[in-house]
Amino acid sequence: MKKNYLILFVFLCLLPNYLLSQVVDNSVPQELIDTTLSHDKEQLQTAKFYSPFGMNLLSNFVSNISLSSAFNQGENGKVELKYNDNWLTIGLMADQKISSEASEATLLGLQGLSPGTTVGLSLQKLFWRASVSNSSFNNFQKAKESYAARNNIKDPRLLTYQEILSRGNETERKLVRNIMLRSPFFVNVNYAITKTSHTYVSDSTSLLETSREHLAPSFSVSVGMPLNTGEKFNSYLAFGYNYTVSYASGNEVTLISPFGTSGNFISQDIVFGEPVRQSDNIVNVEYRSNIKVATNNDKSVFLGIAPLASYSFDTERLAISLPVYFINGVTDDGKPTGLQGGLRIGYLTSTQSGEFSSLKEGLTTQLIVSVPFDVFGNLKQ
Amino acid sequence: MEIIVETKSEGGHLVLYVHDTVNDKRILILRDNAAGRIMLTRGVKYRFEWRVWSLQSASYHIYAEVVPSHPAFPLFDWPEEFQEALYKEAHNDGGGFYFTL
Repeated sequence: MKKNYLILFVFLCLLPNYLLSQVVDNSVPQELIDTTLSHDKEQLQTAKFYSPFGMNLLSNFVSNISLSSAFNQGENGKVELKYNDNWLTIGLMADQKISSEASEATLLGLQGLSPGTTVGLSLQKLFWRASVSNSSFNNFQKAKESYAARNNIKDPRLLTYQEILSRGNETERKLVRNIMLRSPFFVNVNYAITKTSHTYVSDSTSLLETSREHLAPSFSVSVGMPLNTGEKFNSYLAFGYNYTVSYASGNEVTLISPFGTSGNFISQDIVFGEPVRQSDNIVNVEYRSNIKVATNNDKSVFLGIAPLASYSFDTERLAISLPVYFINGVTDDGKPTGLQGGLRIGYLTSTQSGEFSSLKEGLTTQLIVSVPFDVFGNLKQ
Repeated sequence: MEIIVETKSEGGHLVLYVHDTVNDKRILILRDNAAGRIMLTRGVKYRFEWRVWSLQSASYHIYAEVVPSHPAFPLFDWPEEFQEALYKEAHNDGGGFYFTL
């Protein structure tokens, strides 16, 4: 119930942005973006390399609200609003890091973005050279004439390639089989800004803590294409490049000091040194596939997998993640319905020494719950 | 004389071309949900072509007519009158024909 309120709150925070801009939508890659506070190094490492939830190299096609949990490391609430027109998807995204102790998530405060918030704008364009060559088109006309004559088709203009391929005789199918029906491909560009907050000590004598906030930008570009052509295809392959800026906190130490003259001691965890600005260049390869696993009340139920490999040239680290989503049916017009749940398994290792991290050290898991919704009513695909 | 075309797409992508084969030029391009009209010239051979594509189920409809009506281009209503072409799974399809007024 508490998470439901958090999701609703995140959505309400973002609504003014939508009303002001009237442009919307989707996902900005989160890989390697530091959305954590400076006190938790393990959390920092995880957040730097794994998209908390949602899509990676390509935009979501449907507006949604989602919540992911990295178990004891807190949750992320995320809203994606999108608008599709003329094969261009314009998207706006907001992602709020919620610590494990937080009772509410605040995207926008009086001074702008709250720490732990990422906002992003994305543009995704579909390119499609759909027309077939003259010789292929002429072969199709020949096949149609033959098929229509055999079957007494009144208006052969209505016949399609797949109809000939599935019901034509061998000669007709042969004429159509070699026609290249090109699929579209997608180009996606994202820009995002993450606000981070760091508390640290720079003076070892006074141990006075200082808090500073930073805006860390991220830019990415990716290209995605369907893998197979023809009747049987349901998977994508995407390649991407990502430039990110992040702020790495200093070393955390534990100070033990006497508590007055009581003879007792107290301990205090502090971070020494200012956060260091780092830039990173990352390449990504992502495969995505929907596998039909069942039919529920005439609706297909899909298992979606989207393995992603990312390599950082600057920090020489390799990240592999395997999100598995359960898509609980789609409507007659192809839109997902109900809650979409999933699990993301990730593995992070340094490649500097030539030795990979053990599974125990490098493995992370996240739970994902997403609610697709159509905020515009005229959602088009 | 002109051709009027209307396309509808739900869940997938549709593109429609009217191609002037004499001048090798696309004179009309419609994408997904759209409507358009273009003047046609007598004696020119045109190619009317459409493609549909999606990674999921989708439905489409294309309506086209020439005004004033001409026997070389009877009213075109794909897949058939008042119906939508429904693809239940991922698909990559299309069709087309030549016509001369």
